[in-house]
Amino acid sequence: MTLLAVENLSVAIRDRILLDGVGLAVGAGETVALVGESGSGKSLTALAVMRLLPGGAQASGRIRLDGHDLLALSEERMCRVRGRMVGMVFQEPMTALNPVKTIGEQVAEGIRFHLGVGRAEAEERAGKMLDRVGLPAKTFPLSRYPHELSGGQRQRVVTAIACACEPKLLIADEPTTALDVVLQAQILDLLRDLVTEQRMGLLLISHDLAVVADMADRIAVMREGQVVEDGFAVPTLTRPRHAYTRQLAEASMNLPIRRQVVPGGGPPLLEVRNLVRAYRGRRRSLFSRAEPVHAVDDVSFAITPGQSVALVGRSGCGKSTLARLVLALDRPQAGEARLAGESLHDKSQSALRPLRRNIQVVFQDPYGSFDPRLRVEKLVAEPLHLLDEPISTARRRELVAQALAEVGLPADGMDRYIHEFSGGQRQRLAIARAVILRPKLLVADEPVSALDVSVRGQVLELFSHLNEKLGMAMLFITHDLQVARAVADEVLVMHEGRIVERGPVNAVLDDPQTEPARALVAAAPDLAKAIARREALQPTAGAASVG
Amino acid sequence: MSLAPAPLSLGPEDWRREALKSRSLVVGLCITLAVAALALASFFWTPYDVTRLVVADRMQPPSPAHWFGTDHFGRDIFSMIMVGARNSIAVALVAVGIGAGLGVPLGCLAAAKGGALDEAVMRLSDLVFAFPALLSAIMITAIFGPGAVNAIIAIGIFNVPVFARVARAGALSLWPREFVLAARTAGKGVVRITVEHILPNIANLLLVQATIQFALGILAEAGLSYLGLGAQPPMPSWGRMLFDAQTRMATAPHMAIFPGMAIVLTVLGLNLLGDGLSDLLDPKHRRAR
Repeated sequence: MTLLAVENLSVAIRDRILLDGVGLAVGAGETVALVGESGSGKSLTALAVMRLLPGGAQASGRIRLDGHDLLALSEERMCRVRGRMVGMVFQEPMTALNPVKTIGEQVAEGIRFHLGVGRAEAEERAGKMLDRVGLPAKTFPLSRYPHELSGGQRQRVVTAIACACEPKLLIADEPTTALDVVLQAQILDLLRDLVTEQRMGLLLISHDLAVVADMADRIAVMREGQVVEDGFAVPTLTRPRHAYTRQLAEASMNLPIRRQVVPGGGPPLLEVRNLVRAYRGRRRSLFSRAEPVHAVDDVSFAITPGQSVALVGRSGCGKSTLARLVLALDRPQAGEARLAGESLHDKSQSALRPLRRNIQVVFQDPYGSFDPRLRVEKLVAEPLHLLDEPISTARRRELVAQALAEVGLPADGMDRYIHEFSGGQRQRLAIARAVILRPKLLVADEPVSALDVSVRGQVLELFSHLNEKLGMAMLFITHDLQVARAVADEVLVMHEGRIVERGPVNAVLDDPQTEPARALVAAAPDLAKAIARREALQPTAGAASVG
Repeated sequence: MSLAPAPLSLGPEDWRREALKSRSLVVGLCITLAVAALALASFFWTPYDVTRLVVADRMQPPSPAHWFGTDHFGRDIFSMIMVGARNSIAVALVAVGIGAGLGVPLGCLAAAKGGALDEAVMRLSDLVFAFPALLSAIMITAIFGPGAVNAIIAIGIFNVPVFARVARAGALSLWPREFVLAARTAGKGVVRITVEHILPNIANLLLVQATIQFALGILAEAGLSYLGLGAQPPMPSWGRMLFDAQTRMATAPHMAIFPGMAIVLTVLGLNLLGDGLSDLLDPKHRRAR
């Protein structure tokens, strides 16, 4: 039985058409995945179903949910639909909860409003729901505030809120994108169980085909506001009919293969010895002393010239703190880091300049790593500030053009502003900025995790290329094991501030020895494996008709 | 590789279009410009000389000869308002200048350095905030003597912590951003990063705050000169004109109405301008409208 039927849905803001004739159906107990790259209209489709479109947006077409025509309902009736009939899980658990209300209140709120029960009963139900999502009242009392929970726990609370009134349809908009792979697997399991238990329909929005292949019964592929292909999950992914689906599947499965392997040994370029960085923790009581939190705890490693090392670990394990220490943006409490034999932490900012020339950085967020008010020429030229003598404008433009050429962007891009570039192009610009001085070491902090799959491969290719051509060593921070395989010779696995396992990339990832490494490898989504698993489970699914 | 067109890029024409759509911005800007134009014009021309007393013409109601009537010394009120605008604007402008000139660097420094310095700057501004601004300004002018210069200083001092707080709050949100980290890895120091990256990005916040402080400055100046602590006669000022009109409200109401209107209109214009600017510069408002 069809629970949600979206027919010919179009959404426009002024004269820009954002959704164009979208059709979609979700049955009770069925999981339908909406996949596509950023800006393809996935989230907008979900918002249209919830009637939460941004102001000025005009929707046309039909959205039927369990017999109701949603686009025709009054706002008052729609309020009864949201939360009662449709629940929604958002991407960012940090902002989806109200920071000044306890988790109990937030779960009970919807129950009281929709089911009209008293406070006590609502709280009892809220307790049960939180227990169901893995937050038992014993360890997670209802009186906790969101900031006292981790990201994964918050996402469980968001899920509990969405499912509290046992809605018929659950919409999950990139529910695990902000989480690390281990938490991702847990939340996906939870969603799957809830859908089966309550016989809900699940509309799962994701850009990650590996996640989708594991979860979805059917898949709809969106591009530029249109559904270009839909059908049963496995056949759609293994035998795509539309060129775009094929392109997406290939990009997800085939990452560039690491060509060059630089052996370790020899005098190290970067040498990190017993590095410790602790932050002041919370006091447990008025008179007890605050226990320090060790973000980086006695870490040692070395990188030789030209070598590429991946640093992998779950979110919050101290990867980025370590990167900041290596970049001399922060000082350690103990231990030292040396670049080409010189300490990075005992110098004044001006004495650091010659060292900074040899160590540059690429950050994760292609949108946040550039000042929006400057032209690309100035942005990419920023490290030239480290040269001892000021250079002429003509020379600067020449160097910027050269750096842009190196990352595959045209030289005329330097007169534009950053908002004129797409995410992938911005990440290329970030790389251009990092390599303009030809540093000996490049630190990349999750540089591809914010990019769409089709662009991800190209950017990884670029990193490998620069590593080979310029002989730059790389410290590549990532939570994605496939990415680590694609760019690195060696891998360091970090867990709770310590490096728990290290070795050649393939050896560690194929046969992890420690528990944290095993957990990472087991939880990592892998499209090929997911498809194989699904085909083994339902060998006939491939033969089912596609509609 | 082709460069993708940006969906939300704002060129100069877009800014103009967006600006013209905001009613409060357009109205506020028109009023503010009109007042500024009157003040500027008064340097070259006023209908009558504001220092010449013509006792025969005292307290005349508005007429074609005297648009806003005359005061108890027979001076032309329209001319006095023109010259008074000059005075009000000058006092408020310099007071905002003092506030921004001291407050913005202090706030930026506090955000950049953090720690004890941040604490010191913020507690100091708490201290200044603890005194009611206008009362303290009255005290300062009472101690150091009335006059436009002392009024400017008194109003300006209380603008310093306002700008320091706004600048600090804006700068604090920028320092952990990745583009600032990138600038730090490029070896740039605190001052350079503040000038190149922080200030341009908080300029809109400061601009909006400046228009609000400007309006408050005009009100404060009017208040001080009403009490006789601002600009001294024979220099006309709006507050002083209101004071003179007070006892003659029954016989010559126009003497109070026109300077009062001038104050109300100018403050209204500046507030509208501030509202409009903050809407225009805030992308969320822009989309919602």
